[in-house]
Amino acid sequence: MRIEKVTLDFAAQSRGANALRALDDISLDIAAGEIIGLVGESGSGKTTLGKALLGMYPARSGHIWYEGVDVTAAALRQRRRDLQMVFQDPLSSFNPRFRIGASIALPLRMHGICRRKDLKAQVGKLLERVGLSADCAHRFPHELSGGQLQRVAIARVLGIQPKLIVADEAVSKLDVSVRAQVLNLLKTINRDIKVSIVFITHDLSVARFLCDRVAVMYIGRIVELGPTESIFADPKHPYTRRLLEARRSQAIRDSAEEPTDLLLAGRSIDRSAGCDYRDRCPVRIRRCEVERPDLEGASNDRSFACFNPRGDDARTRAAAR
Amino acid sequence: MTADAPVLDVAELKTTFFNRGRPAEVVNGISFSVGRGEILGLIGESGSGKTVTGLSILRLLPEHAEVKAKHIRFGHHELAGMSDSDFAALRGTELAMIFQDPVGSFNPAKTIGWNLRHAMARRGARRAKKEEVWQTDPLHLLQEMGIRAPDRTIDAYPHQLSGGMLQRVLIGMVLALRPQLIVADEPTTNLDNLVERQILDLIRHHQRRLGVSVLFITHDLTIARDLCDRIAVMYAGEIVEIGPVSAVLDDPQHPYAVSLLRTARSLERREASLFELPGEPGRDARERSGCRFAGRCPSVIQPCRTEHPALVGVSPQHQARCLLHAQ
Repeated sequence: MRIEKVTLDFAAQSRGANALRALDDISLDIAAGEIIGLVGESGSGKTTLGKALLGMYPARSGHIWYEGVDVTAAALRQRRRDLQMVFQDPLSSFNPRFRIGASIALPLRMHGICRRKDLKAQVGKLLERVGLSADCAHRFPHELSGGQLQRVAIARVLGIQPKLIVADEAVSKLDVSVRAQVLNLLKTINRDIKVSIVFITHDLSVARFLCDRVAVMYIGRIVELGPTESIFADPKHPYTRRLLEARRSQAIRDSAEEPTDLLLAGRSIDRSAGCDYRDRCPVRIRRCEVERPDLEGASNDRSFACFNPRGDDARTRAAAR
Repeated sequence: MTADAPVLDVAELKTTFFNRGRPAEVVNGISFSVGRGEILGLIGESGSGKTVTGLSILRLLPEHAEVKAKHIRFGHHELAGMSDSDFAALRGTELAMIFQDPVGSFNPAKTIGWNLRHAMARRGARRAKKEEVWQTDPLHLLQEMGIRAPDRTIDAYPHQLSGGMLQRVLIGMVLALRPQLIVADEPTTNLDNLVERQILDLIRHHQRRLGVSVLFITHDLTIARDLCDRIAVMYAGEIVEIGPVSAVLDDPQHPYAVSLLRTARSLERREASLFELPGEPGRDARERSGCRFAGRCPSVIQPCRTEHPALVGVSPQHQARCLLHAQ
């Protein structure tokens, strides 16, 4: 998929309020078979971007191309087959009155993938593929645990043989050991059938395990992009470094740390002048106040949007360890 | 007052839910204590009974739940058997709680300022001699909690604040009443990592300053490692390991604790495939006659299936419920 200079605004919710710019000039290519992470806090736009990939938001500037066709113009049926989503809350993504087997079978029938007489066997195979027993098909969603349901969600998606899966915080609500099972499953599936995965998360550790590349997002823009290990070894953007610190158990505390409140920040931020991150940035220089950095490449697929990536402070040295 | 007397001492807490007359045991006679100024972590996954433990102590369970205990000592009060009205006076003041979703702790039709003043009015007769200003003035309170624009926040309504901000306000509200013990149930689970880290720092900072005890309920071992002094690991309604956090995390004895730790570590080390323990707790674990973990335990031996292990001391402070360590 190719995302080209996409900007997306949500209309103002109340009188006098500004429109919310959820995505601001985003460009990104997604290769077949790759796992790319969209990492950021609430309000970063990562979920909006994930949904936009599926053609769920028509009103925007820029383009999102899927196999050369604008994704909102692409034939709905084909798009729905190739581009799929797994949601954060497994329980609300299933019709509570359908048995599990019926929920998995429905898209198979809709897309004509499977003949009626083969459905039961196919559903059984899909359940086993994700590590569940075939007789789960008789249960109702409320009878399964969060981890089991999330696996069913993956089985349902797999049945359609998609080209790309958007997983929106798919493991955030799961306990640690269940999380491990689902992450292992996603990795295996990607290896086996080469489906692309766009993995949306606020948790960098999870992104590190699963993703080949990571795009770090901040208030609607990508601030750093590149191969996962490279970003972890040498984060360039100060916000990336900040996220890496939070992940450590013995993080270095900054006594002047401002409380994060991105949702409010995103609304009140003055986007016309300077870098969006300047108010919180520990290595801000004069240029950051007046000019806005673009995402620019250094070398080997690394790019970042910062005028002072090597800014010196204790945290940079520590986070780079 | 003896420095040694724990703030909370729970003995043989047993909670049972009745579904159309049929009993389902959720917490199976657990015992633990929280010392003065200490943070005890109650670690467990979904279904372990950790949340129900907290709710049992706070008397927040529905009608069809039955809570029994040998004793639940809170300071010099005996909670088990206390009248509802006496308990109501304690809860929310001396015995406070912070939940995963702060929204439920606020009146949504009133401003933050109203909510704060309303909560603080409960202090009433409990004024300490040396009053800290932030405990009586909402603006100062919000500032103490690290909120940058307290005047704007005071006039906002709960739905206008983000989860992280609301949690900050709630923590402030709770602390302003100078509780002896806070029961915190997954207070940061809904929050992004950056905000989570800030909230945990906030809790730790004020906990140390005021000497409040905390019963911190979570499924996340990494949080427990940072925040807690001691931890108790729960599985299928029982405590399977308990001890100082360094002892339990550096040298876990119970195979379940070992596997939790391995999973957490494999994620941190970016192993090619995460360590996973097959299966899930499941309802039948509680019906088993032997050890409840026997069905999934990688170190299981024959006696485990029939003999129910007791908590045995690995060292005076550190105990595990496992036949492999029974002397």
